[in-house]
Parts: sequence; structure tokens; C-alpha cells
Amino acid sequence: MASRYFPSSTAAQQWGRSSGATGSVTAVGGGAGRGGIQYRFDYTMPQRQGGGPSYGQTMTNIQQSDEEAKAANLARYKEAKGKYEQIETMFSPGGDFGKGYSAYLAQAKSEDVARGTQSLVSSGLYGTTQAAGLGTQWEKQVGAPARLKMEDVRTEKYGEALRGTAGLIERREDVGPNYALIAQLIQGKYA
Amino acid sequence: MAVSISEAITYRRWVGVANDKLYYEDLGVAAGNKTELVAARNDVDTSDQLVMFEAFQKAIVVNGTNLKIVDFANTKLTITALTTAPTRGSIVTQLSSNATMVVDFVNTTKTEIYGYTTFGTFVTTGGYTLSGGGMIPDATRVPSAVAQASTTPLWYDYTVYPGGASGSLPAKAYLGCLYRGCAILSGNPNNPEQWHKSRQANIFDYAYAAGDAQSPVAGGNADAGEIGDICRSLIPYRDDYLVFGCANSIWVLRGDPAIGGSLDEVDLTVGMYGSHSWCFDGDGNLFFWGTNGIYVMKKDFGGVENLSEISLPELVEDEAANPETHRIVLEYDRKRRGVVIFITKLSDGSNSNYFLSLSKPTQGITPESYPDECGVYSSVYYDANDKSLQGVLLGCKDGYVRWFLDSAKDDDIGGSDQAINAYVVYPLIKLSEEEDHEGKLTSLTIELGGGASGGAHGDTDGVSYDIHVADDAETLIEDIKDGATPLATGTLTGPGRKKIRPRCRGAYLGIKFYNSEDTETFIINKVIGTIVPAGRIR
Repeated sequence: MASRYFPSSTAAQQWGRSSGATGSVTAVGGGAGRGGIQYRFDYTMPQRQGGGPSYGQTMTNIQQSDEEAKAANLARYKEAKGKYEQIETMFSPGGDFGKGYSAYLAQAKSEDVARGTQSLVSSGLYGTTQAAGLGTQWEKQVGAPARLKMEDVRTEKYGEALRGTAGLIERREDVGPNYALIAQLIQGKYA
Repeated sequence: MAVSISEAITYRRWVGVANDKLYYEDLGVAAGNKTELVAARNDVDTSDQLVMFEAFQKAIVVNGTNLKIVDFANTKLTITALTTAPTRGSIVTQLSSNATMVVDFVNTTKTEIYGYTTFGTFVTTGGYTLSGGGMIPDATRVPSAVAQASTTPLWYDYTVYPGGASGSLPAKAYLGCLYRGCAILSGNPNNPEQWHKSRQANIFDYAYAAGDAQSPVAGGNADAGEIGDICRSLIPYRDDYLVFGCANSIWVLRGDPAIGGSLDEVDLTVGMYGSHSWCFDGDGNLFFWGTNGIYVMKKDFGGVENLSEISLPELVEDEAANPETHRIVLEYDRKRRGVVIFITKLSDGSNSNYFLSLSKPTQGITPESYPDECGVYSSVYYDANDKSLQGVLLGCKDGYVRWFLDSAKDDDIGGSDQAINAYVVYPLIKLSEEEDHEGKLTSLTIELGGGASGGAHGDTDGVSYDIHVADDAETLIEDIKDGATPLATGTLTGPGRKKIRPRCRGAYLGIKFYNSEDTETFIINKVIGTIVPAGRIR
């Protein structure tokens, strides 16, 4: 049987769960509830069949916990990245951004050209090339500037989405094994 | 500091076309001189309709498929063909000579550049390459020839600017004018209702529907959905409006159709005869030969008024002028304050003309005719720099340019002079206040102009008279027109008062004064008669 001292019973119990040791915890030192108390953990390590402590099991448990944590972290990362990519797609060329405004422009062009044609009839110029040029003129004066402005906005939003994705990627850190814990375990095995 | 000022004046030049040749007033020789532009010989067809108008120091010739330019301002550089012409309005510079020009036009094959030289002199020296304006290839072409319009006017085809972005001219045109800085063409027989307006300030651009305020425009004159009426004349008035004189209607374009303009019908029942059958007076009123006579359209476009329907109700039928065989030209004579109407048969120059006096004391329409050689095919009021050359110029059948000269008493028919057969029929006089009574003219005093013989005022030459009487006015005028034997006739000579005692009896009396002698003309100041009652009409 071996013993170890901990500042609290909780710490002793946690160590017991993580190491696989079994035993009892006893308060030693000053009066109960007063400073200076330590908790002695009298324990024995589980024996495999054929004898010896099961550090392999411990390592397996540690590795399993580590991998579970890593998997959860990766899943969360992928979910977040997926959201950013959705935003990128929305603002990328050919994406859904501006479709509503484009439909509005088409409607406005139809109405404006119709009004312009009526105006030409009133001024006697319907029989001239001015009537045929109304659509072109509208595009030059209204349609093209509006579409260019919308393109500027789309480009800006697309840039923001790309920056968000880049930031997400930049902030993610890969976490390696806890070498301090492993050292403790080894130390504990040979203590 | 001394100030040196060089006076710069604008020069007006006369340009005319006759017998398939083009002539211009060469001020370098003398004011009024007529010099042939040899390069234009046989490039125009004067047997076909031809119109010319001024635009940007050029004369544009519109003669069917012969669309030409006489250029009085530019420099012409002849080069090996370019791939891309310099942009119109750009600056082209010549290496070493440092001459620069503002490009105005490049021909279709891109072998001639026309531009206004702003500095230096272009030369043909080897190595002195041209660059600028986006021409391709740049800095490789050396002019093989340089021609200055100031030496001899430049003559070239009127086409659109090369490059494919300037549209195209109509295949044919017989009408043309300048309006608001735009060239207007019409009269294509395949589309006689169409007119074509170039870009403002660029007569080489006809790319319609460009969408800007100076855009070229083509169109017709009709209500929406209808085909337009046939254009017969293009009549610009300053930069304010353009009148289309059509076969059966009159239209007016106000402003520019590319921005804010309007096209309205003035009259849908009166048409215009032809491309020259109109003129403006000094007040902006438009006179023209129309469907039923001589019309005026006031400046406010309040409609058209027939000026000849009362005095000459059958004028159009009597003249029987046909656009295929006759030319009708109207010209406002600002010196004599009236409109001259020339009706000339194209084949032989025979003519029948009228003077519409707008001066209040002499308002009315008087007929006149000229020798066939003097039949008028075209006219223009030439506001020459030389005041002695200002006046109405008449392009005549024999190729001469003539004008009205107050001091001349005969018509110049080229190799000789021809006497003028001048006459006047005084208003018919009813010799009795009673409808069925006659009167008797017992004496007639004619005051001939010139005061006393000699003296400061010019004296009249002799004048003959015929006195006719009849029982009714129509018979009387018929006798005068038919040249019936007058009741009394004679000749008066010298200035001053002349008294005769004709003793003519009748219900109506008519007097005709006339003179058809060489180098003679007559002036009558006053005619006074004494009439006494003579009983019932027998």
C-alpha cells in the first residue's frame, strides 16, 4: 500500500479516478477544519492479471479523453467555418445578393421606357430614332450606375466575409498531449 | 508697354455650281472673282437636283450619291493608310517640325487626315513622323503631301468618320441644311419621308440613338404609327426651329430632338413645291410657293395664309409648274423690301416671275419675266465683305451670275443687252356713278418723273400709252390683255406734265403705259383726268 498527500480530499479523489488507484483518504495534521490539514490517500493500484499496475489503461483513458475533446473542437470549428462560407457564397459573383434589386431595376426600366415613349408621342418625336434609343439611354443614365453601385456593395460585403473566414482559421489552435500529466503518471508509477 | 493688335475678320465667300463645275470667290485674286475648283470638275451632276449649305467653314454639296465637301479651313495630310485613325478632336503632332493640328476628319481609307493647324507648318520631310490622337501605327507615317485650304479649297467626299462607330450616311440625299450645328440630310428617293440629323458639332457622326444630348437622330414627320410625308425642303431658322416643307403638309421642329425638342404639324393641307421655293423676310416670316399659290407662315406658327388667293386665285393652275420640269425659287430682296418669285423651266430657261412687295406704299404682286438666258435656277442674298458686292445673286440658265442693278435699263443676256418690255395698267376707272350711264374722258394729264429736263433728278425716258374703254370691266381688261386696238394711243417724251385730250366715252376706262425701247425706262408720278357725264350706256 502507498500513500500520497493532497491539499484536499477532492484533489485526492480526482487523482485516484485518473490514475485508477483505490484506497481511503484520511485528514492528518491540525484539527479538523483548521489550516495546516493535509489529506493522506492510502491507496493501492489495480493489478492486471499476472500482476503490475495498469498504466496502459490510464494512458488509454487519457488519450480517449483527449481525442474526444479534439473531435468536439474540430466539429465546432467546421460548423463555424461552414457558416462563414455560406456568407461568402451569398456575396460572391453570381450569388443571391442583389437579385431583388435587379428585379426592381428591370421593372423600373420597363416603366420609365413606357413613360418616355409617351412623352415622345406628345412631342411628335415618336417617329424618330429617339424612341428606339430609350432603353439604351435608360441603361446609360440609370441602369448602369445602379448596377455598378450594387457591385461595389457586393464586393465590399464579399471582402468582409472572406476576412471573417480568414480570422476564424487564424484563431484556431491545435492542442497537443498534456506532457505534464504524463510525467506525473510515470512519476507516480515508480514512486 | 506698347500693345500690338492684329485685327482678325471673318471672310465670306461665294460658292456656286454650274455645268458640273464648282466655283468659289477667290479673295486672293480679288473680291467678287469667280475661280473654278478644278478638283471638283465633273464630280457633281448639275442635271440632277443639287443643294449646298454651309457648315463649319465648309460648303457641303448634296447631289444624290455625290455628297461632297469644299473645305476652306483645314490642312490635308496625305499618308500611307493607317490601321486606326486618330480620334476626331485630338491633337496630331509632327516630329521635328513640331507642327500641330486638331483633327477634324479622316477619309474612309485612312490615307488623308484633315485638321486645323494650330502651330507651325506640316512638311513632307523624311523622318518627320506624325503621332498622337491614338493613331495606329503611331510615329511612323510621314506625309507624302500637304495641302492648305488657304491656298486652294480642299475637295473630298462627305462620309462618316472611319472606325465603325459613326453610323452611315443615307445612300442618296437631295436636301441638306445646317441646324443647331447639325447637318440635316433628306430626300433619299428610297425613303423620301426620312430626315437624318448628324451629331451636334460633328457632321461626320450619324450613329443614331447614342443616348446623349448631342446624339444623331433620324425620323419622319407624322403622327405616331404613320409613315411621314415626303420632304421637299429643309428650312432652318437660326438655332430656334427647323421647318420641313413636305408634299402635303408643313411641320416644324423646335429645339433638338435629342433633348427636349418637339415636332409639330403647322398645316396638314398645304404642301411646299421644292427645295428652293421659300425664303424668310427680315422679320422671320416664311414665304413659300405652296399648294394653291404664294403663302406666308408668320413667325409665331399661327398657321399659313394664302397671299395670292384673292388677286391671283388661279395662279398655280395658270403657271402649271411641275417639279420635274420647273424650278421655283423665292428670294427676299432686302433692298427693295419684297419677295421675288422665280418660276423657270429647266429645259430652256423660259420663265414667269412675280415680285411680292412688302413695302406698305407698294404692297401687292406684280408679274415680271426675263430673257430665257436669265432664267433663274438659284439665288442667294450675298452679304459680302465688300459692300459694293452685296445683294441678291441670281444663278441663271446660261451659267452667269446676275443681280438686279437700278442703273441698268436693259437686261444683260451675255453677249449683248436686251430691251425690257415694261408696262403698267392703271386701275380701271368707272366713268359714271350710275350703273347704266357712261362718262367721257375729256382730258388726261400725265406727270412724268424727273422734274425739269436735266437737273439734279434723273429724267424719265419716253412712254407710250393705250387707252381702252368698254361697257363692262371684264371686257375692258380682256381687251387690254388681248392687245385689242385701243381707242387712243400715243407716245410721251421728256419729264414734266403732259396733257392729252383723248375724248374717250364708255362705262369703264383703262390706261396702259409701256416702253420696250432699248436703254429706256419710264417714271410716272401722277395721272389726272377730267371726266364728264355722257348719258346712258348705248
